Amino acid sequence: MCKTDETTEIYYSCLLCQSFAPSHVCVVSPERTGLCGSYNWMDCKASNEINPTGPNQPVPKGETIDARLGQWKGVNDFVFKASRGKVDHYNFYSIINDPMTTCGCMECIAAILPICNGIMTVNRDFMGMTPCGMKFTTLAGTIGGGITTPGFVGHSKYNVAQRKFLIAEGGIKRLVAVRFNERAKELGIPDLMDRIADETIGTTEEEILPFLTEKNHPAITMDPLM
Amino acid sequence: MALTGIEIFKHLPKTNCGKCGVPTCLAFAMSLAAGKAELASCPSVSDEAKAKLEEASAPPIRPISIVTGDKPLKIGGETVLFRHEKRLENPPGIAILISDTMAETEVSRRLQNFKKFRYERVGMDLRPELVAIKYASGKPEAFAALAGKVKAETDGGIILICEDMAAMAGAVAACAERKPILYGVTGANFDALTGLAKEKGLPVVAKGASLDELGGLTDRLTKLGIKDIILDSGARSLKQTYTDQVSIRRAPLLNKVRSLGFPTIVFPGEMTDNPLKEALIAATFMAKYAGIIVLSDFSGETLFPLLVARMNLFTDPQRPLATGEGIYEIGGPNENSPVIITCNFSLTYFIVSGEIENTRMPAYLLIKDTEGLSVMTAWAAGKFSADSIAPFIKKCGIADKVKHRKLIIPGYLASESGGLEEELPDWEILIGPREAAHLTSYLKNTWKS
Ligand code: SF4
Ligand code: SF4
Repeated sequence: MCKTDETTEIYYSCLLCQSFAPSHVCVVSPERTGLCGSYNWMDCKASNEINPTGPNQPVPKGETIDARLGQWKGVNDFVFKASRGKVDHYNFYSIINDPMTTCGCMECIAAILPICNGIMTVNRDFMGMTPCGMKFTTLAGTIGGGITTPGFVGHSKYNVAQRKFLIAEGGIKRLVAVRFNERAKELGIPDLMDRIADETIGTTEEEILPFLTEKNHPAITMDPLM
Repeated sequence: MALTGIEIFKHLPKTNCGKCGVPTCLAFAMSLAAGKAELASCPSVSDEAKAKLEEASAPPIRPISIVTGDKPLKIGGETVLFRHEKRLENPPGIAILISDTMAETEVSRRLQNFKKFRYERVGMDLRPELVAIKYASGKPEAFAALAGKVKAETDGGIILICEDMAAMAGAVAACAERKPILYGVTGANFDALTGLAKEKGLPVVAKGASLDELGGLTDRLTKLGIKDIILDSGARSLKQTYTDQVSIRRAPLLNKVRSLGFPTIVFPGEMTDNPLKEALIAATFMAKYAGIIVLSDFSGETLFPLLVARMNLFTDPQRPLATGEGIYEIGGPNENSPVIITCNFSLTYFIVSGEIENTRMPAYLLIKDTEGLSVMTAWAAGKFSADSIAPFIKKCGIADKVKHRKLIIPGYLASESGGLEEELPDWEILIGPREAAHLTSYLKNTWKS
């Protein structure tokens, strides 16, 4: 088991969401599930074998352009074609540098919190205000529709626990505010979880910053995000 | 788009003071990047940052707010060529034309129609917003009197169509609080009309014979500090107007041509004498980029479809249409009337309420907020299950309106009935039909309070 992105040459596309976000292309790798949470690499592979001309096509990743950010030539070429020239590249593992496009059905949206030097994420069931100043619906309206929005990215819940989640910025060590309570506990990093704020701590950056400082959250002392 | 939200954010004060109307600088930066806000809304940007951001953050097509007696009419502010790319932002205003040579009765008829043709659909108010007044009599007093009459008798925004500067000044004085739109600035009357516009702070229509001429005019206007500009390319054939509309939309969006980044005005009535063709032309420009559409007259059978077309085009394709949560009384129900619940997807609401009307049995229809999702979708997403329906039933106040305790749920929610009986012990849960079409026979055969 345990396929990793490095040892896998063929990723899979998912174009299902193009029906409403025409320039959106998900490329699903073993360590980054589709942002809706419904498609992992294995699902896409199976779907392709059942329906070779369907929405899940093999994408040979090709030459590595940037290993840290997660950018490959083969993927870029595919995305350029599949988005009909709208998107010419994106990075798998970064939120700051041209992250993957976001369609509309993401389970969660991650956003940078510049004052905390960290990243928050909110899932679609949380209706309230979040520290970045936008509710899930506002965030979705701003970043959705098949565009790349530096500083924001849609992702699946499961993706948070995957090894490559936003690894270019330091991975989950950057997470300063999480809005999915039970899910968070499943992540298996009890100590880090205690240092991450949720909506009971605060819904603005100012409210959660003292908490993060007190708990000595790793993001506070990490390299500046921007 | 020149700068991303993050790049803009770097130049903002980062205080999250909230004075710009959204809670954080980041949220504000995102609106700026999307062309939905103006930098001026943040009182604390440094001058240095302002200079850097102004150019980059100004919306490609300037949003303009036109004063009416009701809420202001917003036009422009568009960010895409096609609805499916994001959404179309501001529906074009619809104007009726009157002139100061029309007989008094004709003017009254038109103003009556302006007031009369209003419709409510999906909780939205569909109505025309503007009255265009044309100077043709050669008598400035008549023009001014008409402007005064429109202001007094309607809540419409006003467009003054007039070449004569003295007559224009008189009419402006007669309806000054309504901030009329001045039609229109050309190379010939530039100084006189801009003087008036500047003095009173009025929006103007720039009218050129070609797009180049138009761009030249708007450059001169912006240099004078007049920014509320509406464009008329001068074309009066369907084909040429269409071409111009598309060019005027593409230039600022795709090629950053600021001088054409303004909403437009079109006159379908000057392209044909046939009222039906006029309506078709108006529909064309509703989809293709008009900011204001001036119609030569209103009739219900052409205005209503135009208003509905406009509503459909300008809804957000990424967000399902939703009806407000609450109790809807259909046919004057009483304490023995059936109580039926469904989701707040607009289409569901219309179909279910229509079917209830067909039964001619008065009923209470409860609409639960399911974020615009249909019954099955909402149920699958956990937004229409016993634990969310029960609190709604308790707080919505339906228990005070009926004596019985019977709740009819959609047939597709049958699996929730057990849960509901547990959460709502006072209530008997009745499983209704799966399809709205079967409501009539269901109610007729089974309902007993
Ligand atoms: S979000 Fe899910 S369904 Fe949509 S394109 Fe990506 S993997 Fe496919
Ligand atoms: S008004 Fe300016 S400083 Fe205040 S939150 Fe908005 S952008 Fe930030």
